[in-house]
Amino acid sequence: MRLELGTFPVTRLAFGSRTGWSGGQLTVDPARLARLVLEDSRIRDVRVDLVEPGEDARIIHVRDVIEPRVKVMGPGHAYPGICGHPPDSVGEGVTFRFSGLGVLVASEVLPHIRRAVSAATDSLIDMSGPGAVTVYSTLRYVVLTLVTQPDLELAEWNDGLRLAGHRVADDLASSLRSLEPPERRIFSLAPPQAPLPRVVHVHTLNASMVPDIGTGVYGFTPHALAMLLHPNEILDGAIAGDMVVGYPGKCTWLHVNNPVLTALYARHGQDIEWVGSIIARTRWGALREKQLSAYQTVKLAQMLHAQGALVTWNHGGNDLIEVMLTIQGLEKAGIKTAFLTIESDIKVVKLSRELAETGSDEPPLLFSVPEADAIVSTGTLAPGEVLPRVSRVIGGDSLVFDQERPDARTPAAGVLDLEALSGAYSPIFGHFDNYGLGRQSYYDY
Amino acid sequence: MAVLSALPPLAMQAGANRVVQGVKIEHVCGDPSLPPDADRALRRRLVEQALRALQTSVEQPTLVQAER
Repeated sequence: MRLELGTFPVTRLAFGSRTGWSGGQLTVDPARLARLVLEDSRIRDVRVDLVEPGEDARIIHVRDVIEPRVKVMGPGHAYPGICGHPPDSVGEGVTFRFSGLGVLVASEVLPHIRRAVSAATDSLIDMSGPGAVTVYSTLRYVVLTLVTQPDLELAEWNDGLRLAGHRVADDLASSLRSLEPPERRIFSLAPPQAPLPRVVHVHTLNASMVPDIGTGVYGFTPHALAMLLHPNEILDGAIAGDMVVGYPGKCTWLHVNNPVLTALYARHGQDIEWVGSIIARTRWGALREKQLSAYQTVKLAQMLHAQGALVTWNHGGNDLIEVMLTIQGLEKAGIKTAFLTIESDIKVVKLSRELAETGSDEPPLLFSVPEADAIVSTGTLAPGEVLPRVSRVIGGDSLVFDQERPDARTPAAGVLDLEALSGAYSPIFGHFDNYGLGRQSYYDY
Repeated sequence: MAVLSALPPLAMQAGANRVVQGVKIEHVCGDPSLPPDADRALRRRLVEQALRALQTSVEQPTLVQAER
């Protein structure tokens, strides 16, 4: 499987009457994008904003970020299996993309969905200042602030917001079709000339306990046993997030820009042979399901003759049980295993910031096994920062930090003392940094 | 003390002395997908198991196996 990625870096955004990319500038026609979005009667209103890094700006009610990508040669559609895109296997041919750009969907969660889905939290991105520590403060955004029909059920709300975001992303990416990309790179897992240690990426992905939402693989969201993906499928958007869950581990932009894929591709053929990414879903409800998922994942790694494994996860909480059981099984099967993780013990963080920072007898992980002896940390979840007042807020006016008290609203433009206002998790989108993309870990250690 | 847990490995790692396997995270002590009578019987079995666990002497965190 051979994929050529053509990259168009975006270094400036501007409104104009003709959508197009030229010499780093992306011109966006807001009327055209609004018309596209409003073709769907589930969307009542849309506002289009452009936001750049370094601005004195805060984006709130972040639902997802999508990197516009278009297949210009080869089977399937970028971001397959969702928004009407066919489920054909992707990862072959030529795909064009914008780098440094996200279509950001902002929309306050509807009250009945806020009550029903605790993970539908309010999150924010600061484009400058002390809160601008994640990768999401470095991107340029076409922000769609969407107002939906108020009575949409969960699945319809998710689908309506997502369709709006992908319609706009598809439209922007389509404008690249006839252009010559400034950068081209070829991705293929060509067999190495001499034998190298075989390494598998065990790419565990949360499956939501709430039906119809969460991280999808070709749009398939339910719990399922392990499957094997070629990394090129992931680069073509086979893993995509929803518009509900506030945790950035399911962010659509993140999955096509996952630094784990970049790092493994850089090593493939040099000192390892990357044999692919096993997708194993997490957050099963019963211990037997967690065990079965872990054991089948290990078996698949053995059948791939893996000698080493890099295990990642995109969530927190009880998902760690099956992740740790997987690590244990891999090590027992003689597969040397490293684990890339956030430090997720929310109890420590919530009890006292001093405990979280000075260390204590509480473990940094909810659960562990003795075989997990090679762990790389990407930082904690502690909400420590005091964010200053900003002059521009995009995506809404106010924030809810306590899902149990939706009437307690905080004006979004003001000073935000995150430690006092929020619970166990920082509301900064991307602070929950499973793959180590941000700078926040330098602040914590 | 006895703990009825959906995730015994976690309970035992946290130091719970006697651990009884519950059903699943969403419903630890019962199963709403069962008919009411079967659910009631399951719940009774789990509670009785937990009471038996309480009467078992243990030296370290122990999974007290269900009697079927």
